[in-house]
This record gives sequence, C-alpha cells and structure tokens, in this order.
Amino acid sequence: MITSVLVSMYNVGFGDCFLLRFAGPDREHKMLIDCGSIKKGKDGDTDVEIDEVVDRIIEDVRDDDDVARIDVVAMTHRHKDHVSGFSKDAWDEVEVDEVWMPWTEDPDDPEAQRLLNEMSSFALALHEEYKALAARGNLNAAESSLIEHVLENTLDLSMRTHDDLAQLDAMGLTNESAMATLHRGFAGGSQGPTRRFLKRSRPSRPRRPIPGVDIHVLAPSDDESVIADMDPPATESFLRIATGTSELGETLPFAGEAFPNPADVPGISPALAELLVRISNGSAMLAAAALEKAVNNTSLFLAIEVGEAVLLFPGDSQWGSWKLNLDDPQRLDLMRRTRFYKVGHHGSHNANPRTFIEDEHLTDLWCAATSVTPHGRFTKIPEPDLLAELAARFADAGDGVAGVVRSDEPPPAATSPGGVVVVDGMRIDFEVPID
Amino acid sequence: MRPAASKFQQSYTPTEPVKRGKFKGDDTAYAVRRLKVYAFDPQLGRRRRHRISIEVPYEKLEPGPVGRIIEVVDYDAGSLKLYEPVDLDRKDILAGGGLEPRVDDPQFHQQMVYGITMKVVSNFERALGRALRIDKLTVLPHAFEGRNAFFHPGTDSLCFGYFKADPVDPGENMPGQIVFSCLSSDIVAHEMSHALIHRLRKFYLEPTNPDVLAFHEGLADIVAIFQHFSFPGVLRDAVQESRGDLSQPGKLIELARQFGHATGSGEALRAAHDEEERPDPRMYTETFEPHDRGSILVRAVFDAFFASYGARVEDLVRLATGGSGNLAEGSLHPDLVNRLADEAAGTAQRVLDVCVRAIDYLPPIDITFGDYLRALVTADSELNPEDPLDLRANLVDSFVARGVYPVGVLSLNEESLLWSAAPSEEMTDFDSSILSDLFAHEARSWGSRRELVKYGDRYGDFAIAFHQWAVDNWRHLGLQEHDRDNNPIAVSGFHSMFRVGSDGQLLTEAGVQYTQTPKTDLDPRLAGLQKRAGATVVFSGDGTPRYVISKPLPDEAHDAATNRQAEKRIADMRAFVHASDERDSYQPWIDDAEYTHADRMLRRFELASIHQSIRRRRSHDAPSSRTDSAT
Repeated sequence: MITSVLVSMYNVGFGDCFLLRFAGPDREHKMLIDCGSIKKGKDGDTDVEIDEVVDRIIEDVRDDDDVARIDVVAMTHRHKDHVSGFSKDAWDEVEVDEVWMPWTEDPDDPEAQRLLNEMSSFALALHEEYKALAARGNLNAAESSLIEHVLENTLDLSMRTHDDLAQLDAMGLTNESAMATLHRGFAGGSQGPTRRFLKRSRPSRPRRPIPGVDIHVLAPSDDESVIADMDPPATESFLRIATGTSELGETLPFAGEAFPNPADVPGISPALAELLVRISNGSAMLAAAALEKAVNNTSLFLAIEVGEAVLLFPGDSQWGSWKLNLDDPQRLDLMRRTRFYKVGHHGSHNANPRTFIEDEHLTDLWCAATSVTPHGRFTKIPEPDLLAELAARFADAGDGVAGVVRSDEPPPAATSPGGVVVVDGMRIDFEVPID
Repeated sequence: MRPAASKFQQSYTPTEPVKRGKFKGDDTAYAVRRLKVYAFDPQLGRRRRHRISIEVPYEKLEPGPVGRIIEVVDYDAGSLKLYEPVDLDRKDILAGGGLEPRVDDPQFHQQMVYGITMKVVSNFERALGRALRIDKLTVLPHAFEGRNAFFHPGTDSLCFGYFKADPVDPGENMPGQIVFSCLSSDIVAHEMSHALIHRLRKFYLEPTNPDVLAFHEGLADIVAIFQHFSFPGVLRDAVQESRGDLSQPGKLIELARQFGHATGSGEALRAAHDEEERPDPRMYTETFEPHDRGSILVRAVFDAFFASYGARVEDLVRLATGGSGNLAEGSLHPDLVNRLADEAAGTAQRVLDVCVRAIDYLPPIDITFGDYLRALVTADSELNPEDPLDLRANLVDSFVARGVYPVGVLSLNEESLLWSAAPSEEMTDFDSSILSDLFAHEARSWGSRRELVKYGDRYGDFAIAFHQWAVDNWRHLGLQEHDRDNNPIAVSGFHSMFRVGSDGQLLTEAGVQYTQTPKTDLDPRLAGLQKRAGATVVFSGDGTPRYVISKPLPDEAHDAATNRQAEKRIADMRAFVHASDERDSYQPWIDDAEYTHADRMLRRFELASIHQSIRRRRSHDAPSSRTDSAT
C-alpha cells in the first residue's frame, strides 16, 4: 500500500525532468521521467546547469546505504530537452531496475528501425538544406530559430550517416551519448537494468514495477494512423525545392537562358517572383515542424494510478496519440481521474487538447505542472491562453489545490500552496494527495 | 436602352471588378487544334498507345504558348533558366499535330501543359454551357524542384515541380530518374480544375468546414480521372482488360501513377475505387486531411458512375451472350469492346458534365458534401429529367453509404433533395427585360467561338439590377438587411445558363451569387475566418426565382429553423478551427509576426502547403492487391 506520493519537478529550464517517490510499506520506490534541457534554467540571476541537476538527482535518490537507486527510469522520447542529462558519466553508479523507452527505440523491431532511419535521413537533409539557405541569406529570424531549434533537438538522429558527425558531437550537438546511457548504461551497463520498449496495448495491461502502483502506457501506439504521424514527410526530396542546392546535383539538362533573378523574367510578376523565392524557405519551415512533430509523437504517455489518484505524464505527445485515448472510454475514464498533470510539451496548445482540459469530468485535478522557460522567439510556448484555461479549472477549487505551477516561476515560499515546496531553487516538490 | 439606373447607383455595392484580358479574335478557319500528349504520364507513355493526340478548340497562340486563358512561362526556378517558348502556330508544328512526346524536350512540356489545361477548360465550358470569363493564368511547367504542384490564387499561377524518383523504391521508374509533374496529365488537370473552381466560387478556399477544401481536391480529382475516359484507345484497352468491369483497380481510375510510384509509395497517388470492400461511413466523420477527405467524394461519384454504366451495358452484354449475360472465356469480341467503350465514354461524359454543372447550384460559401449531393441531384434533374439510368438514385446511394447526408431535408427522395424552389408568391420577380439583355449579350458570343463578347458597360447595369433585387428580397435569401456601410449585400458573380428542355426547346436561366459580410470585429475563435452569409439564386428566363440556395447568418428576421441552421454553421466553424488547432504542430513555433494567430486558418490551408504535405511512402508491406467488386 502506497502511503504518499512526492513529485519533484527539477529546474532544467526548457526541458523535462521529474522524479516520483512512492512511500511503500517497506521502502521508498523511485521513478525518474526524463532528464533533459535545451535552455538552462535560472535560480534568480544564476544559471542552473543540467550537470548540477543531474548531481542533485543522484544525491536525491541515494538510499541509506549510500547507493543511488532508481526503480524505473522512463525516457519519453529522444529529444535533447528530454534526454541531455543522461549524457553524464555520473549515471554509471546509479542502480536502475528497469529502463523504459518507447517501442520506437527497440533495436530488434524493424519498423522502429525504419522510423528511426527515416527521421535520421530527414534530419540530415534538413541540416543540409539549412546550411544552403543560410548561406544564401534567405532566412529570416523566425525561420532560422525554428530550424535551429529542431536541429539542435534532433541532430543525434543523423548519427548513422552524417559526415560532420564528429564535429557535431564535439560541439555537443547530438544526443548520442545520452542515448547510449539509456540503452547500455547505468550500473552494470547493458547487463544492468532491464530495458523495456513499451507500446500502447488494448486492452490496457498496466505495468507494476512498484507494488501498489499501476502504470498504464497510453502511447506510443503502433496503430498505423499514429505511425503515419511519426513518419516525416517522405524522404529528403521534400526539402529540396530550393534554388542552387539541387539534390539533382546539377541543373536540368535543358538549354536555356540564364536568369538568376526570377523578377527579371518577362511574364513573371513581382508577386510570383517572390513566391518562387519564398517557397523554398516555407518548405524548410514546414519540414522542421514536421520533424519535430514526428519525434514528439513517439513519446511515452504514462498514466500512473495510485488508488483512485492518477498522475498523467503525456511527454510531448501530439494530437494523434491524444485522440486515440480520448476516443477510448476505458482510457478516458482513467485520464479524467488525473490529480497531477504534467502539462504536455512545455505548454504548447496542440499537446494539451482542449477537449481534455475543458472536460467537465476532470474534477479531481490538483496540480498542472509546467516545465518551461521562455525560449528564443517561441512566444507561444507556453501558450498563455492554455495556462489561463488551466488556471480557470482551479478557480472554484478552494485552498487545497496546488493549481498551475511553472518551473520558471516557482511560487514564493510565503504564498506557496499546501503540499508545494520549492527546494534550493533546484526543484519544486509536490506532495500529491492520495486517498 | 433602359434609362440610366441612377436610383440604384447609391445602393450598388461594387464587387471586385471582373478583369478581362485583351483577346484579339482571329479569322483562321481551324475548328480544333490537335496536340500530342501523354495520356497519363511518361512512365505509361513508354507504350505507343499511351501517347495520344487530343483536340482543343483552336485559338491563335503567341509563342509560350500564350492564349486566351493560359500563358506558359517556362522559367525554371530550380536551374534559374528560361527555356525557349514553343510556337504552336508554326506551320510545321501545326501540320504535324504538335510536337512528338519527349521527356527531354521542354518545348513538348510546354505543349502538354497547354493542351491538358485547355482540355479541362473545354470540359468545364461544355458542361456549364457557357464560355468562362477568366483572368489569364501564368503556368510554369518547371517552377521549382520538389514533389509538388499547385495552383496559387494570389498570383493566378499554376506551378509544377520536378524531382528525382526515390533512389530505393522508384516503382517502374529508374532510381533517381527525373520525374516531371507537368508531364502527368492528371496532375495538370487537377491543378487546372482548382483554378477553374476558384474562378467559379472564390470563397471555397476559405476553410470554414472540413468539406470546403476537400471539395476542391475531390472535384479536381474527379475531373482529372474522368478525362481518361475521353481517350478512346485507352478506354478500349481498359474494357478488354477488365472484361467490361471498369470498377476494377487499374490505371483508368487511378490518379498520377508515375508521381505516386516515384515517391516510393508503391501505388498511384490516389484512386477512385474503394480500398475496402464496402465503404466505411466513419471515414466521413474521421478523415481530416483535405485530399483524403476529397477521396470520399471521388469514390462516391465513381461508385454511382459504375452503377449507371453497369445498367447501361446490361442489354449489350445480354445481346452478346445470347441472353445469358455471362461472358465467355477469352478476349471480348472487338465489336463488343467498342460498344462498351462507347457507352462508358458517354456515361462518363454525362457524369462529368453533371459534376461540373452542379457548381451552378452550389452556395457561394461554406459548401458541404451534402450541399454538393443536392446540387448534383438538382443539376441532373434539370439536364436529364427522365434519368433512365437512375444516376441520381445511384448518387444518393453512394453518398449515403459513405455517411454523407444532406442537412435539413425530409427524405432522401429526389423531390426532397432538389434545392427548394423559391416561395415565389412572397418574392418579387426579377425584371425579365434585363435578363433578356443579359442573354442577348451571351448569345452574341456564340457566332464566333474565338471571341468572347464582353458585358462591357452593361456589366454595371446587370450587377446593379441583381443587387437591387436582393436588397428588396433579402429575407427570403437568408441574408440580412442591406447596410451599405456596415453590412453590404454584394453580388459576387452572375451568369446566364442555357440548356435544352425535355420538350427540345432552349431554356434560358440566370444564376447569381450573393454574399454578405458584416463589418464587425473578427471573432478570435474563428482564427481569421469571416462570418459571411451567402445565397445562390437561379432565375428562369421570365424572372421568376426558381431556386434559392442559402447559407444564412443568425438574424431576428429569420424563422426559427433558419436561425438554427445559421447558429449551427457558426458552431461548426468554431469546432473546425478547434480541431485544426489541435492538429497543428507548426503553430506553436511561429510567433505572431510570421504566422499570425488571427489568420492561421487561411495560412494553414493554403493550397501550396497542403499539397506539399502529402506523404505516401509504403511501409515494408507491399499494398495488398484487390480483386473483388463488380459494378
């Protein structure tokens, strides 16, 4: 029987890192969900490095015999902002029973490997395209920032084939060392923890690595429609519509008169000339967003059931994964019992469906924890309207609730709601009420 | 001459002026121009029988070609080169029936896009029974490198991309071979259809419900696929191969085979036959992507076509089989093949005609598939009152089987599905002398197919008169009271309609589209979509309103049923915005300066970008072949 649940949201900046502690009859059980950052967190004016966070976690999971132990490490998906912390050597001493990853990481599943390869070659093509577009000075600030973000978040995907790999690795631009820890690391290496590659099952067969806790895997599914969302648009040619850097390698073998500027061509209006130039950039933007979505859609989506209470960790799951569960009465019932909600994808609107947020049956909600910090030009992450809507959920709930809590705006100690404690500017602890 | 319409002048709301290019008539005495094209694309065109000659109405052409509607500019923005334009009026080219199909000759590419686009124009003009007055379209056969092609309304252009076939899974192409979308007759016909639908219903690019863009895509596919049935050799082959059952999967009813295969999908881009044995009505509630949703429409129409074709050839098969109806083993007799192919071509033409003609019976805004079904039934009952092949019943059956129901009708019987005849006792008639003038103008174009007589100065007179009629009758049109400054009723288009009645007499009618956009602040929940009311009215030649097809906005002057319909429309719009937001993974990354929240619905449904997001790559399993289904 579990007597208490403590969730710690670490101050990683733009990223996710959650430690869950379940007090059982004989000992405390621990589960870590993600550990990554793409932009540092702040404690006042001081930066909080991800390395410090990792050291702190390892201290936090140390048992009385001085051994650091975690029952379950779950990685939701292989984006830098969810895994970068795992690249530290310090994890080698940590004893882990099970490492959970989405089925798309399974080295023995050909479909998983196909998806990974598709994403990999797509990221590679995007990278090439980005260099070419940037060299021509064609990109504006919004275009560069999206493409740069997606590349930074994803570049490990291009590990297998990329020539510049060593260079990128040296610049810390890939997630490969973090993925190596998850696949082969922790105490005992590949002989240490049991690696599990999870997928949504129907009917739900909850996993029970911790006595008294049922953990339901809501995503990723291997349903075809969801896999389609994980496939980046077919191969790299999607990107190659720009001038100059043709994947054809040379121009069309037709004789013609050179016109470097389409605006000079008789019969081409200025608007059409602009369209012809812009279409290549627009394509790279769409491609970047499509790649980001493809990887997000591989997210593990966990519903952790302790008695009547549910802690919902959707990772960065996007619409396809959500819809599958919202349409399923059994899972919907589970989701409606959510008390602790890890806000999806750092608070972006499309990872937190309104049909769920505004569900009138979502009456037990106690906390919506948003792990985020303002990042670059992305003014809609978090989406202010979404946070306002979430806050409205708690309007009539009285004093007992934690409400919406942002990792970058921890509540001052004096006004901190019951059950919420800010620890050293390093993490926010939530004592989630259970029955 | 009527007196100057000064009293109308005050209330006349100018709509966007209809620009007309300068076209000079020509006295050359050709009726048609013959041009060689690939019937499908170069992949199939390796066989001689798939390199065919089509006929389009003759017009004098400048090098380009540049004609009345099409201006080909062969600028390759991938290679930054301009290719020399073809002069199709050059004597040797004219005499040879156009250039020979060649993948390596850009001048042939120019000829092919011209030929196919003009074939689509003549199909539309034939079905509508009138010449289209349309802004000139700039066509770029090699606009960019990429797996895409699109109609861009902002620049009135058709842009075709080219790309390398998938290096691993190129289908029947060479790995890495260059594939030109401008050499796919389907892709060219599809994009040209977008342009013409846009000319006829400009608000159909506003994604006010999930069917609007899907209708654009679906009808464009329908036009492209039916075009195959006008190639006699191709059709006879298909009849022989399928032993008369044209609904079997095959190139005849597939769209863009080479394009699909070259992208590694292992199949044509889309097809008009069902993937499942029975249509699944849930597809209509669950399919979101416009092309996929449009395919529901394509399959519904083709299902009805197959059923009507089957009924039409039943007697032929009995005649050919001594009454048994069971065809013998082996090849069909060539005479039977010819007769079956003739019937298929005739039925196809009739279905295509009605699919296009139905546009005249569609509301000016916010179309749904249910509206289209009603327009099809109405258009067909006007054109073919007898309907010996039960085409209308077949259409209703196949739409309903796919979960598409018209709203607000009593039953699925024809009398209920016809757009309601206007309650004429309460409405005033339109001045029939003005209609006579309009018809006379149109009729003057008939003498010379090469010269469109412009409405010229009379355009304003006609528009003013139609406008005034709506100002007087707004209650019956689902519109609101005209308010020039804050809520103007606008005439967004009008035209004459001609058809031969069941008694063999020529019938003349006029169609008018009205839209009304209240000048209020945009509803933030509609993400840039405007709330508009709209009505299409069809007048008979004597000025009596025959059909009123309206999309109302709520107004206290309307009855409760109309207001319920109006409220539901707005609620559906909001729900669609919401559903689109939830699926949009692009939006969170773009700040308001680049991708404003306010116009996000229009931005995300731009044709250029939705065409780009098509992705079809086959997984390790090859697509299962399908062998079932008969007409």
